[in-house]
Amino acid sequence: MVEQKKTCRVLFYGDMGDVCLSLPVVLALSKVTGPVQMLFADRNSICKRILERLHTLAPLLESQPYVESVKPHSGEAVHWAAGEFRSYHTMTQSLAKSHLLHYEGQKSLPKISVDFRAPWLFNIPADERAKGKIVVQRTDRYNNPSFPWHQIVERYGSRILFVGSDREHKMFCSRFGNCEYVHTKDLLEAASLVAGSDLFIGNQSCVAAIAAGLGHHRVIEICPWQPDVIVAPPDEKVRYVLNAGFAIQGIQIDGADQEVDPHFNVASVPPRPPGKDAPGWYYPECQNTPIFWSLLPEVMRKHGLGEDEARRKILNYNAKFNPQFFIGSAQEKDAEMFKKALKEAGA
Amino acid sequence: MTLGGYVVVRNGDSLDYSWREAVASLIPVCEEVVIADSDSTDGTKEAIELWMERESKIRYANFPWKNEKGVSHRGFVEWLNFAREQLSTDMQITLDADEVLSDSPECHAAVREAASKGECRFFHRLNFWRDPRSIIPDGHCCARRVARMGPANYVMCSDEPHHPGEVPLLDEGTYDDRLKIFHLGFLRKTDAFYRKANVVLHWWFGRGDPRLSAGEETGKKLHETECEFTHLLEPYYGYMPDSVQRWLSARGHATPSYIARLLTAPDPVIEIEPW
Repeated sequence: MVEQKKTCRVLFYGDMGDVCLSLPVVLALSKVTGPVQMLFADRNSICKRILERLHTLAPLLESQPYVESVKPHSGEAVHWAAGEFRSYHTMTQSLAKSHLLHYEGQKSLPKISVDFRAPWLFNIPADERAKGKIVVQRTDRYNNPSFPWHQIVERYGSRILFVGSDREHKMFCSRFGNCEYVHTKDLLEAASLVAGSDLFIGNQSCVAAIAAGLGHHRVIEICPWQPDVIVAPPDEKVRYVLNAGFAIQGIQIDGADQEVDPHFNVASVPPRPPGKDAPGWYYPECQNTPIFWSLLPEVMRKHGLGEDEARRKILNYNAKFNPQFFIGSAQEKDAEMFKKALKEAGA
Repeated sequence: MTLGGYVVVRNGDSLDYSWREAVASLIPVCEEVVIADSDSTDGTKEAIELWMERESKIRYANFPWKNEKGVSHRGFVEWLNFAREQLSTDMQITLDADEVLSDSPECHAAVREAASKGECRFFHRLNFWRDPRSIIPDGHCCARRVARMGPANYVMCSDEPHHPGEVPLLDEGTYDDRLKIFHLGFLRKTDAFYRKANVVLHWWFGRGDPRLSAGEETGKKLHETECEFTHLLEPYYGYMPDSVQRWLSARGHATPSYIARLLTAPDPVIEIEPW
C-alpha cells in the first residue's frame, strides 16, 4: 500500500500584508514538514475580508517552492491557525515575529528555526518595465506626516512607478504630485516590478513586505505610532524612515516639507502636545477646544472657512507651533517606540 | 492544584461595573468563583443569587460595608482578603469588578500553567481610556503589570507599589504577557463613574479630586477633563473578547468589527490537528 503524503495545513485570515509577513515562518516550517498548504478563510475579525482578494495574492504564494497549494478553507482540520497571531502582537514587534511567537506557542507543532535577515521570496522574475525605476506604493493607513513624499516626487517623479489600487494612485498624485501608474493584475506582478526596479519606497503595506521578502533595496515610511514592520535590523539595503533625511541606492533626501499634508488623516493620530501648556491639537483663538474634531468647527465658524481650509489652517498652525512633531525629528515617544522596534528586530 | 477565583463588588449594577463579565471570565479556568458583595443596595446581591441557581461554581459572601473615610487602600485590601479566605482551592486568582480576563486560548493556557506549578503571576492589564482603542500609557494612572494570581494562602494586595519583602505574592510573581486583563473602569457610563470615583477617593484618601467634581458638575466626560496623559495614549487594535465587546457596545463603544460581527453568522470553530 502506498503511504499517503502528509501535508502541513496552515490557515490564514489576516490582511494580505500579514500573510506576506508570515512567510519567513512558513518557509522555516516547510523545511521540517515539506511544502505547506496555505488555506484562507474570512473570519469576523478586525481584518478586511481576504477571500474576495485571494486571486491577487495566490499567484505570488503559489510561485514559492515551499508552498504546495493555496486555496479557500473548507472546514478541514489545520495544523496551525496562523491567523490567530494577533494575540501575540504588539505595536513595536514586527508582524513576522508575532507570527513566530504564536507559532512557538502551539505545542503540537515541530520546532523551527527562522532567519528574518534572509530573503523569503524566491524565483520572482525581474520586470523589464521597472529597469532604472523606483517602485512606490502608499496606502492610506500607517502614514508618517514627516515622510518627505513631496520631495521624492519632485526630485524623482519621472522615475517613479506607482503600484497599488487606482484610488491609492489618485490620492497619492493629488497630495504629492503626478507619477506614472502601473496597474498590476496581482501581487506576483507587483513583486516582479519591485524585483526589476532600483529601489522600492513605500509605507507599511503588503508591497513593502514583498520588497522585504525579496531582500530588495527599499525605504520604508515608518508609522510613528505602530512601527511593526521592522523584520530585521537596517542594513545597506533598507532604511526605515521615522524622520526625514535618508540616502540609499544613490537617492538622497535631505529634509521634509514645511507644510503638513492637508489631507493627512488626523483621526489616526493620537492627540499629542504641540506645546507644554496646550495638550492636543491647538489653535490660538480656540484655546478651550484643543482636540482636533472639536477645534475644526470652531475655526470654520470663527474664520468663515470651509472644512478643508480650516483643516489646513489648524494643521499648519500646529506644524509651525511644534515643528518637531510634523517636520524634522519626531516626538521623543515616537523615537522611543522606533528604537524599541529596532531593538526587537535585533538592531 | 485547584484554582479559585474571586471578585469583590458593591452596587455593581448601579455603578455600571462589568462585574458579571469579570466573574464569567473566571469561570472557565476556576473550580469555584467567590463573589464578595458588601451590603449592596441596588439588587446586585439578588442578581448573584439568581446566577448561583444556574452556575454551580459561583459562591456568595458578604463583607460588611464599613464606609470609613481615609483608610487608604487598607479597607479594599481587607475586603479582597476576606474574599480570598472564602476559597477552598489551592490557588487563587482575582479580578477587580471592572476587569475581564482574556478568553484567548493562550491566556487560559498560561493561567492553567501557573496554577499547575503553584506559581505567582503578574498579568498584563490593558487600561482603556476614552474608547476601546486607547490605552493609558505605562507609568500613568494605573499599573499595567498587576499581580492577580498565586497560592490561596498568600495575602492579596492592592495595585499600589510595595517594598520588596512586604508581600510574598509580589516578590515571587513573574510576568507573563499572555495573561491579559481588560480594564474597563474608565469606559463606564459617565455619571456612574463620577459617583463611584468620588466615593473611592474619599474612602481611600479622605478627599475628592477637583477635576472629577468639575466633570460631575459640567457633565463632561472623563477624558474631556484635564488629564496629563491624554496626548500619550497608546492605540490598541488587538484582540478583544466577545463579552468585552458586548459590554462596550451597550455603552456606545461598539467597534466597527463588532457591529459587522453582529450582522454576520458566528465564526466556525477551527479544528486543530497535531502535526
